[in-house]
Amino acid sequence: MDTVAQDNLPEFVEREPYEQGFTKFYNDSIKPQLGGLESSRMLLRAKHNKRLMICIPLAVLLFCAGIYLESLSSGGDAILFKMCIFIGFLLFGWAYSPVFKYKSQVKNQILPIICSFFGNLTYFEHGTQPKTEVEKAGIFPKYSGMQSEDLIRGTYEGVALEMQELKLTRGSGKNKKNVFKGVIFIAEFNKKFAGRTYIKKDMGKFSNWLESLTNDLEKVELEDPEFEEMFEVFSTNQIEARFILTTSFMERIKRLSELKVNSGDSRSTSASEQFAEIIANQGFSSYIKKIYGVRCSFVENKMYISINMSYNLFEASSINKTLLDIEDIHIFLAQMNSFFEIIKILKLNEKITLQA
Amino acid sequence: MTPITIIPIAALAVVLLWFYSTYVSIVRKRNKVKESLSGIDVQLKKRHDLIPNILEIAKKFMEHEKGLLEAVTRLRTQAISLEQATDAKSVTERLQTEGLLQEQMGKLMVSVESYPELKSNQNMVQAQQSYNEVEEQLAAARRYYNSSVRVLDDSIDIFPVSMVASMVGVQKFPYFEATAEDKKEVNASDHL
Repeated sequence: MDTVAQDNLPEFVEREPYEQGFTKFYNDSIKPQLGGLESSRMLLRAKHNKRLMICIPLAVLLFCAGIYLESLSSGGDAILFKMCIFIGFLLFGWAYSPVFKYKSQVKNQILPIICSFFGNLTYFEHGTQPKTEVEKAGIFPKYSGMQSEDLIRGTYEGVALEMQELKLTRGSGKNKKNVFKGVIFIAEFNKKFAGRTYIKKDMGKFSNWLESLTNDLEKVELEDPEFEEMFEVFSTNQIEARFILTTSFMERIKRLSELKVNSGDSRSTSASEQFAEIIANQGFSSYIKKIYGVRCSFVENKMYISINMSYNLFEASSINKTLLDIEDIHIFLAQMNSFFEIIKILKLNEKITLQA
Repeated sequence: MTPITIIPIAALAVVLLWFYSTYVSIVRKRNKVKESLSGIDVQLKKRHDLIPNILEIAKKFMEHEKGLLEAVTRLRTQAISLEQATDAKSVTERLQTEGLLQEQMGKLMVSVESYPELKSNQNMVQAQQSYNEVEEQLAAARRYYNSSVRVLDDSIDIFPVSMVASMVGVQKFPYFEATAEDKKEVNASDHL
């Protein structure tokens, strides 16, 4: 395959404070691969388009055949029609497999470099979150199925952390439904605790009361009226909850709502671009509050944060869009920085108390 | 039974039911205050247990701080004697004593900075770390206590619950407040 000429590769322009120093990473590790990735994109796009040209007429044919065969059969369960539809889905899966391959290539070649820029972090496209961690967090609804992707694990400014996109489902077959889609963020906290404390979005008196009936936790009433307005806190230990939620820490949790990420110039039509636009205008936590809100818990020596999001993070733009405008790289940097900002704002990287 | 007799009986039953549920609610809130006070007790006990160790280490180096060390010892003894206080007046005296003890310990910790040998002594460093941890836990326990007192006060200040509270003898508890010393402005030049 022909690689795009080195002279045609773009230079990285640092637009945001968190991008400072990234140019060297880009020149050393990403730029040498960019030509190959772009050539691969063009090849895969051509393959995808070719397959679509085969698929679409076949799919139409299958649909018509399914209806025709069904009209001839005497059975009432539309088995033949469903079989035709199923074959149609397989065909489209085959047609779109170059797209999935392209997105996977972009993720696996660019995201690990971006991770290493921020800290001693490793990226796993298909890493799985242990069920024990999700259950220990105690901030997710009951689920029967779990899918995860884009696991980032390591240390950032001395804080051991993990974050991953998570999708939880409940039920099976026709009754299967999504109960959570978003990100789980786990960070080592700078204090050890014996009990469990949970911070949830304030859903109003009645909903809060209903929730309190389903567990053995006590409601913790705190002194900060603004914090009380935004969140509800439950704990197995009233004193420990206040040990964690000092007045300054409550201020920091509220500050998450002021967090802003400037994604820079947005020109593509991908879902990640919509994310960037909202972030630039409204701030990170405004975005997540707009959708569903944040939940936190403090268990053992870890802080768990769950963030509901309606679509995927760290996804490459459309296969039809060139990689050479490197907009995807800016967006990946913006998205990743948003999560690391959580650590800075909450000062998890500062050892406030030394343990007895 | 005619309606004329049923209505007053029903009304009396409602009043008695309300009285009982209010009584239960007040007693629960009072017990919460006592529970929160015991949470402070646990941390205060830890502090009392740590102090002799700190004094023992400090004594070897801080020959000129005899007055301060004696004040800490005296206040610690006084605080331990008030550990069993449960009525409002004794609790007030206890909280004041603990406040003074904390103030003197604060002065002691600041004085440690003036003795480089003591400051770098490994045992002292560990003792200070333990003490800081206990103080943070104590601050959290006090916040819980104040929160419980507020909840109790909110209910017994309002009529007609106040009437029930006075009938069953439930009193207000004092808030844990900063001492006058804590409220004073800090002048950095005093410490330099």
